[in-house]
Amino acid sequence: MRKRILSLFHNLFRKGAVELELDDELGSSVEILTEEKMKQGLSGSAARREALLELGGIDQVKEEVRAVRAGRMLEDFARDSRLAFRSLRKSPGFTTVAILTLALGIGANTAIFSVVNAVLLHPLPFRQPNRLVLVQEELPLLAYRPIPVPAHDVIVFQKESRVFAAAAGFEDTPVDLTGAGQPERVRAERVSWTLFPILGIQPLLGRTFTSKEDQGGRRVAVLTYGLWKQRFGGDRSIVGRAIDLERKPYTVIGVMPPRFSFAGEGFLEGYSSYSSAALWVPMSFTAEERTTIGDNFNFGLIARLKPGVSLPQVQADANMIATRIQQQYPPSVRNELKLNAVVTPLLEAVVGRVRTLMAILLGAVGLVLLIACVNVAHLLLSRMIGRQKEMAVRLALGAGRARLLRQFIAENVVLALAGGALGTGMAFWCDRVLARLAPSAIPRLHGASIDVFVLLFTLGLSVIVGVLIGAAPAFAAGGTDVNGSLKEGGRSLTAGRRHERLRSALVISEIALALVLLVGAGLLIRSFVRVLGVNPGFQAQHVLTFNVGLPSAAYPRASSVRSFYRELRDRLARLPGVRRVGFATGSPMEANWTRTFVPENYHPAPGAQLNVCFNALVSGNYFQALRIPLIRGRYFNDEDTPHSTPVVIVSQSIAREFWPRENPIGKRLKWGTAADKLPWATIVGVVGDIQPGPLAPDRPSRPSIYEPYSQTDDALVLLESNMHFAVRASGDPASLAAAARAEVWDIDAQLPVTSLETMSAVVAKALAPRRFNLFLLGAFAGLALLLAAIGIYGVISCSASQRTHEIGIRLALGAQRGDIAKLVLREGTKLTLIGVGFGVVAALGLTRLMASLLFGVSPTNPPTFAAVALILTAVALLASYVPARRAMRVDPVTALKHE
Amino acid sequence: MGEKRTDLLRGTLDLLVLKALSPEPLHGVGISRRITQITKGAFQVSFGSLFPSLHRMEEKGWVEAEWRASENNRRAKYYRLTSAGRAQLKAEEQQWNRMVKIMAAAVEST
Repeated sequence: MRKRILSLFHNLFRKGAVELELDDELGSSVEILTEEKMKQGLSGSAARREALLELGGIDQVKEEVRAVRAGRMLEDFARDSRLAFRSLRKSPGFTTVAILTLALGIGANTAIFSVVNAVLLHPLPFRQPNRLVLVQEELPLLAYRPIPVPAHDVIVFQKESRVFAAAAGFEDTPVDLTGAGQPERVRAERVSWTLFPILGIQPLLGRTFTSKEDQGGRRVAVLTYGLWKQRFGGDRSIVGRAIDLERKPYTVIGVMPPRFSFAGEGFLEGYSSYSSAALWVPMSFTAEERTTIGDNFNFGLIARLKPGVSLPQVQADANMIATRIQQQYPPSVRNELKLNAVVTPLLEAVVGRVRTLMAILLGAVGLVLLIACVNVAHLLLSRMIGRQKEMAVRLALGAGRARLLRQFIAENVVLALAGGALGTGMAFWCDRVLARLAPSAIPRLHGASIDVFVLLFTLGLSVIVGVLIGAAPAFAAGGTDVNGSLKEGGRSLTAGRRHERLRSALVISEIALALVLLVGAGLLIRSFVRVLGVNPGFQAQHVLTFNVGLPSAAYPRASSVRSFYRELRDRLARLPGVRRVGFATGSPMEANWTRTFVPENYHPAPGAQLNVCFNALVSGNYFQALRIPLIRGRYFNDEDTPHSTPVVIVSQSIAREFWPRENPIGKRLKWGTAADKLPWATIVGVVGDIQPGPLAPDRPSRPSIYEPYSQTDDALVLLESNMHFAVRASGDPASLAAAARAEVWDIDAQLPVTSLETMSAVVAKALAPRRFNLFLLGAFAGLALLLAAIGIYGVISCSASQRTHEIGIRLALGAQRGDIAKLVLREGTKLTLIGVGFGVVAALGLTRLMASLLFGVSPTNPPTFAAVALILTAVALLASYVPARRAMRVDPVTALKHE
Repeated sequence: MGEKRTDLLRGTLDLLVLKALSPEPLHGVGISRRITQITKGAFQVSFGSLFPSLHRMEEKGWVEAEWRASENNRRAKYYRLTSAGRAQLKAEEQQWNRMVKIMAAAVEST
């Protein structure tokens, strides 16, 4: 074996010497044989001829010897590649077009695969991430999808679960970070002390929380690497020092390593805003949180599974716990609500919602590559036809068909690898563009990079592409008839049925593929237009919005909170250029606070659901500022005071549901259930519904009930100390931003102003995911259309030019030029229509898969299909029109002389 | 095309080459002549089979080659059995004899 390996090296690296020695050996053998023959009485030249004859041809013997040598495969491959390079260099036009086409296809695939790799395939950056689960609850009557859990339930799960090695709660909480620089509102996460051990992440500096700190409500904080670097300049002495959160001193006990983030940046939908957390504080549940049952579904709950337990076991255990929790609910709701627990592997919770999108992107980009392959295959086929004579000569000279085929494949693999290399370069650039365009709604996309795994994927893909594009021409070459090709003297009368049919198949498949992509993009465009057309229920133009939250340490009493907001509201209203000002708990785009209510004299059927509505406390000219239309009655006004009759405004869908044939004005309702000891509130107005926003236009509009801030009880005012302001400007709202911020700081210089932006920008941001999908699929479809057009043009013009002779004869026999154009066009039309037919059938099957990305358009939307088929046909005809014109201008004399 | 015959003879050819080389080193043409001689003219080995076989055996380490002057004072490449080659010859001879006995018995049994 060693000997053979040695000789492999010997043969490869000293190939020249080995060949020379073989030459020598054979040469000397010829001489020995010649001498022998001469001794037998032959003349010198006759003896030599006899000698060569006996040897059987020096080159053949050499070839046989080479064939047994080690390393022959490699050598052959190297030779084939060299040949391939040489032959590709000889036709730079073809090579450039082919490589560019493949680079586009492979590059797009590499870029998208790198995204899929980062988003779906990378494991989570925690210890044994596949043993981590997210626990949620589901109240089928109240919320239509799993939601976070109450604090009380976090504690119950931590205590009672028999399958969790450990569990940790977390909650997103914005805090004011003051002292040392501008006041800043940052995202903090309250976390159980167990969170870091569960994730298995060690701090970079200091330590993480202890059980004592969590239970004892100690004021300690762990910083993210980013906050530490930005705000504290990476000062290592920060550990042990105090920082101000909500105007209370917290001691920094640790700093986490770079890039460690847990629930931020769209990582877990519904658990965090799309910015990443800046720091962590211990969970330290309040007494109220510990004891409140069935309310405040705000807490995330993750757990590490004990070794050996399976997911179904965990689900069963969690459901038992949920049932026990349900038994503690107040009697009024205990039997009406059903509480389920939902356990999801953490990775699934993070990426599950984008899996369809990723699959569609991969599929789309795969189709683009297929079209690119078809184009290049056709180029190769045309080239092949030109090289038919070369092939025939080589076959006649004794080259094996297998040998020719191998060289052919080598050529294509070289092409594909070159395309892959160029494509990888393009993918680097694409990744950067994608990272900039990507909405934060796609988790982990920023981690997309061209790593070894992606490179391997690209390499594999290139090789497959190389074989694929060679298949058609190789198939055609298989039929090369040596005698025929040579006799024809290098000119083929007709390219042969076989080539013709193959070429038609290529065009048809190309058109079909392009149609599928175009239909996909078309459906997304229609959805996007539909979404833009949805009336959100308010007018975003000319509105400036921002959030202000009051820390309870500085504003401990409800009266101080109220007077702050009243003053800010009135100051803003006095600013020049401001028309209307109001504030409410939560922006219309992201209202998420729901309350149960019951109308007066309402007798639900036994077992009926609780009535749930969205609820906001509003003040000032909030409805007017956002132009939420008043349908009946009146808006809130200054006469709604704590001492006047409690009033509410309901949205249209509430009015329609509970008072379908009556005037709702003057009717009364109550929060909670009829048994609750709360006052009845009188309906004074009906306003339009708010759509849940472009993020989820397909959800039903929100039934909402608004309460005047002036009548809200003090406990709720203290609880809801974060307000969303809406300022309607007469001109550009952005120009008011600085003045608005100045007014806030004029009242309290330590208050951070967050999300200060125009309402239009907020709406645009919400549209970003759709725009991103549209952009990508649109780009792919555009690319597909372009490639398909080029392909059709290539095929039709190639077939037309091969029929030059025939056209010449036709013209000479008196055919009109128009007839010739028709002849060529008819061929293009026929192929296009067949392709469109196949494409429509394929698209009908495939667009179903993208239903979840669509809005207001069915996956088989006939107008979209029709429009796309029309566009594609038009483009295809245009592409065949050019060669048709050329064929029309053929000069019969030249065409016939061409012989 | 005669490929079948080569296949059948492949094992035999190696044995014949080893046998031809066992008394003394020979060059390619010499080996061919020696084989014709020891098989009493029954086998005429083609050079197209002989040279590949020699190179293969050289890679396996059964024969060694060196350039030296031929009987007529020409430079020629002479092949010589190595000890591994001798061992191989012995093994192949035994195997051949066993095979012949088996085959003979098989053919004679009616």
